Amino acid sequence: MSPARAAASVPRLALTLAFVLFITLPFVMVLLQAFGAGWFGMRLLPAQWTLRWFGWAIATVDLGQVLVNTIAIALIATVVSLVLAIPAAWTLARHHIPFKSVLITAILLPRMIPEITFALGVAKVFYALHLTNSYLGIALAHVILAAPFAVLVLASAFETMDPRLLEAGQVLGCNTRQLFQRVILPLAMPGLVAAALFSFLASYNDFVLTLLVYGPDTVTLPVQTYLSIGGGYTSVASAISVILLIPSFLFLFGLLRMVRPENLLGGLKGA
Amino acid sequence: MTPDPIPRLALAHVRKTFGVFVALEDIVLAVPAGMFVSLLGPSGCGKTTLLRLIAGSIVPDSGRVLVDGEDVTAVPTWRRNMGMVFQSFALFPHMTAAENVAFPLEVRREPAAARQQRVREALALVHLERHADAYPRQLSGGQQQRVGLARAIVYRPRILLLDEPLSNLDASLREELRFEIGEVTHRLEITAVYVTHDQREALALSDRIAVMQSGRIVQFGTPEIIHRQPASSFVAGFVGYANAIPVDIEAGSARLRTGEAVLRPADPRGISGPAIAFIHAGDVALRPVAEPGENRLLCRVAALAFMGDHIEYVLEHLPGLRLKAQVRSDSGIFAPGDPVAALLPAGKLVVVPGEGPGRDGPAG
Repeated sequence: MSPARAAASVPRLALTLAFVLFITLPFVMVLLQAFGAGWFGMRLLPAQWTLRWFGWAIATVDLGQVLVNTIAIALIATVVSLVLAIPAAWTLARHHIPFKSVLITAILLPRMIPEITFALGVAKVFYALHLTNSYLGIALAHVILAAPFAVLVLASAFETMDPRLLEAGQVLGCNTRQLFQRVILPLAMPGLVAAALFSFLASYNDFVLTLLVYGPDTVTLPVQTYLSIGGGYTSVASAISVILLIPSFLFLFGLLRMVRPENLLGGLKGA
Repeated sequence: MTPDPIPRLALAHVRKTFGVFVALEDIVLAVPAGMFVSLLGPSGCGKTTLLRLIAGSIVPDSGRVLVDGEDVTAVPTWRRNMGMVFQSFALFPHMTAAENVAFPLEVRREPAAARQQRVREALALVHLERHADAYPRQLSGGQQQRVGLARAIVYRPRILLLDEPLSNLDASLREELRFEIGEVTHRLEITAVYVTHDQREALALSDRIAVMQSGRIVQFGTPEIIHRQPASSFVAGFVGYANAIPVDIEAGSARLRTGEAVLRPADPRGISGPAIAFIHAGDVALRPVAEPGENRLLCRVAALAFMGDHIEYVLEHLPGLRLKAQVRSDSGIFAPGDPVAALLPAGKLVVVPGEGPGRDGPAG
């Protein structure tokens, strides 16, 4: 690179760095707050490093139970989302149905509009049906958010499936059920894993809907973070936030690499 | 005459349309058990549609599909007990070679012990014992198609369907696998229907060939008959006749429509009027101009290509009428511009009625 061009790229580099800093600084703040103590005044970094806020979190807000609640609800939401999304995605991907684009828009609606606008409606229905403060109820609320993702991911997995493999399965003697279990599901496995992870995260991370339908027995991590902030325990809230971040970060850095389609699915030579 | 035994496969007046497009029209075909039949034709002639219709993936608009005399037109694919080898191999990528071959036995709930034995036998038949645990992506194209063949025969299907199984392979592999398909189907006495657009494959493998054109079977016969006595100029062009000479036949003599020369085919097939005389390039012999005799066209060498064991000549009889000749390279070489007599042996000349190439098929 010529010196002139190198010089020209300096402002671009600076801008990019500033942008990355802008995005990541809040996370840095949360991490410093969660692991630091004596961070007052004009200090750039905390005076001490400590795990005491995690201890406080466990002692004061029953963090273990909150974690169990959150994970249990997320697992239920994931299963329900997949059970609903698999047939819906199959129909959308492989059948000619009228008003397909309208249907897809309807399915995606919960992701397009702010949660708070329909959270109240969900809460009203849930109160009437006594679904609040129960794992199943909160999980069902989360399905509204999780299922659209699952449908989209699975529909694209089903759509890209080689129809000749399905034909081969039938000629070789598969009835409809066998074809689904032995051919379609294994071929769609990368999509299924991705849909399950998306669904799990959508539920695990949800705050707005949960806030309107949770109860004393069903406090989840995001709600607890909010409650701790409200109580003025910012360091405890930061410690909970760090725990809340773990699945997202695992997903982002580790699992994403693991579930690359080509690692799960053999290449189709000549297809 | 003794009545024919019930054929393994019979198609009775099958018709299939896609919208306004007629894909198959009045298909009648009977395949006795153990016979190897090829459906030969250009792309779009309906041969693959016919194969998928036999498999059950496509339902005909009218007509019936019979297997061993039983009407299976309404029987779903998975209960027809047919084997199929695909152009794209269509192996299951999430299963090893052995698992792919075991798959049709598993869905038939074959006991595990018998299953393993038969998978081993099938893999041995296609020489892939050592690759049993390899995934399709770890195998070459030829090996993948061998797995496809083993998977299609391991459960002894009533009919083996092959959909251009060699089209995705390199030329050298293609020949090797062609021999293997012939060997396996012959040894197991499998009834096979083989779809191809390659006349050499069809000629090499088949007991009978059905030549298809625009959704119809235009000729059905042994490879020798198809090769030596094509029923139309379309068939002649499709089975590789390099030379098509427009003629008018009168009393057994074929007068060229270009020029004055007359050819006398051994079998004028009772044709009177416009016809096409076909001859393979390899059947054309070159003679010195001075040598007298029948069925000779005076030509000039327009071009030649040395191909090792043989030479390909392009000869011009008159402007607008060129011939291709393929002669052994040890028989003397003519140079471009040389006058030469092209000898078209009476027994090798095939005449079919018709106006000319381009009218009813891509001849020449």
